[in-house]
Amino acid sequence: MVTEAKVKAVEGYEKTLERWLGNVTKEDVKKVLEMVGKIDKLPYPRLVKLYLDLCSYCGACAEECHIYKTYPKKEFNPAYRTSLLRSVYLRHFTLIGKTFRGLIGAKELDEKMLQEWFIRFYQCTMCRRCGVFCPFGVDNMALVRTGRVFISAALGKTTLDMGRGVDSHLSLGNASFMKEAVFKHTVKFWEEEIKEKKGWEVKVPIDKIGAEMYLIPPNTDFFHSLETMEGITAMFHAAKADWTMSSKIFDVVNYGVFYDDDVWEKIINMHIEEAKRLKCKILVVGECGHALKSLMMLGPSLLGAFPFKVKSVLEVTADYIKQGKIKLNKEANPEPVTYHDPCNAARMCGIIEEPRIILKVVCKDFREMVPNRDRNYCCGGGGGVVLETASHDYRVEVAGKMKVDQIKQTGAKIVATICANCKVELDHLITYHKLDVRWAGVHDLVLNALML
Amino acid sequence: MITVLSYLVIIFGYIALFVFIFGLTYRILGWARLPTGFYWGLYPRPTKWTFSSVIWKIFALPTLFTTDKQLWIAAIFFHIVLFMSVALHFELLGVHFGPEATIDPIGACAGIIALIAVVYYIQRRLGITRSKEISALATHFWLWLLLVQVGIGTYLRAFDVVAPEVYSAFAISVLTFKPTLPPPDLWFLFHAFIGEMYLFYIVFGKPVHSIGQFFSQYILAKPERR
Repeated sequence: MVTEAKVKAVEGYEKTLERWLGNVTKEDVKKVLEMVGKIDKLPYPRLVKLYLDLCSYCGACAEECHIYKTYPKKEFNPAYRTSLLRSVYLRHFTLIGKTFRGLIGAKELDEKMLQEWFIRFYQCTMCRRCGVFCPFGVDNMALVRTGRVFISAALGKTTLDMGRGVDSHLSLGNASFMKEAVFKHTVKFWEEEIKEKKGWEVKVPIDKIGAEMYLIPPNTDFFHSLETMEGITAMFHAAKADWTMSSKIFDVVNYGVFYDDDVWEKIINMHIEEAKRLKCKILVVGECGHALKSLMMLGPSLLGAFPFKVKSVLEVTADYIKQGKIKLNKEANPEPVTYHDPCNAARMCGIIEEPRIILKVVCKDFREMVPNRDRNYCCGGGGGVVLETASHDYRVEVAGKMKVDQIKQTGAKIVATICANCKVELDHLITYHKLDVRWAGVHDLVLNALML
Repeated sequence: MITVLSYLVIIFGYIALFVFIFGLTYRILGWARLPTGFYWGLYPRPTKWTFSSVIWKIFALPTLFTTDKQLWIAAIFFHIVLFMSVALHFELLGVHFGPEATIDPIGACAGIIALIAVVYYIQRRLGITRSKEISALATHFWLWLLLVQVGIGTYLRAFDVVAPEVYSAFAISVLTFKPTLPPPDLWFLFHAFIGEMYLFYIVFGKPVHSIGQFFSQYILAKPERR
């Protein structure tokens, strides 16, 4: 049901997005159109051309979209959202669109349409669930991202906090304006925490050249989910792993994934160069969904094979469990635990069974959400939407509502996940909806269960 | 009227055939020449024989079965009878799949099933919000035209209006660039003309999914490269 609170939340965020885009001029429209005309120059042109051509507007995607199910209005229909791009492409760059125009749904790109692009493309959480269910294999996420790419490339516009994060990343090497000294201080703090909780003297290796593994977590974990870092560190300690972190590049996030190819490439090159400098054999991505997508899937496909492997920390931990390298006591986590599959980790990177392998040995009572794995619903914060403080009401009232219902149905007391953005969103959902649940990283639970 | 329509069927037939052959080739080459670029597969994905999973996705529509069973039933039946009907039209080229006494009733039954499916499609476009709100005028137009086309085709089959030898002779005369006038039956001429419109439309419109999704499903189902 579309309640007044939902309408208010949607309208509020739409106004904010409109403000962020600012006044749109004819010149802006022209610049964006020039970008649309260069579809062939995108790093993934075949997908875009196909997805522009193939949609039949059957509406199957809407039936599977967590946002449309909560807020069943045309503007949130995934096929409508992508039709905004399709209709403009038809109108300006195809003979049939130029001839038959509105009769076949072709539309002119004008100032109003450009505003709608910005709003609709940034309301989408890019979860790709609709792509899983489209009978023609049309992945709406690719078109939403393309729309964002066009606006960013032509006008340099994106959402507020995402833009700030990128500014920070390009100048400091991380998205949170964190200096090296603060990083080192934080490391010291979590080493002390491990000592206090486990009684173990643990030292995080920093800038160790030639270590087998180079761990890069999302640095949101440093101030929002430090227990995840403690868990990973303690796990490496227990497994006697040869690993290191970097004092320079300690943030794996890459917001370019969400909206800009140049930004994406600049940031991923930071990760690649640092891994080369450290001469690691494996670059281990911490609990982060979109960064895994960037480094494991997008990177090698566009930039060529890396001289090191890329793994999720979940794969490393699951391997240690299989090899009997770490001892775990599930009695340490007696409460019922459920697991939220982050869209990027599950649907994009196939990190589906590894968290379950871990949770089943570190928790006494593990319960699945329904649906789960590649068919799981987005938490409501994907696509960079969670980065924006201003999107809070939209996320908790609309985009994350399906997730709230899913969590409630499990009866779990802890909802675990492996994505920093999902953790923030779950935190907001739990607080706003007063759920009798707490969120945790999978390695937070590993920390509790670890034994030497 | 019949004379005008007869010439229209001949002239537009050539245009439609030209657009279909060259337009479709252009579209296919257009997709094929572009790099895939970013690796955007979706999990779970096959580790071995990708082609079979692509074929499965295209012909069995497994995800649509999960999402909307009514639409799945309509889509499966519609496409089966569509393929059957198209195959039976090879009579135009002198290919016969059996005695006419058998083929005509089979064709008529296929037509009736197709009619039911098209009526369902139309009802869905008009009655289900998530579909109605995103349907352009052209989508409705082509669906209604399909209803007319299937209706006429079913009538022609059921009542054996034009003998196969007659329309086969006409089709072969057109294809050998020695066109003769088509059989002077108004329904046959309408059926032929609408068929040509569809042949033309495939390249530009939604039916292009019949070819394009071999590319799109392959991208999503590409085997793991890690």
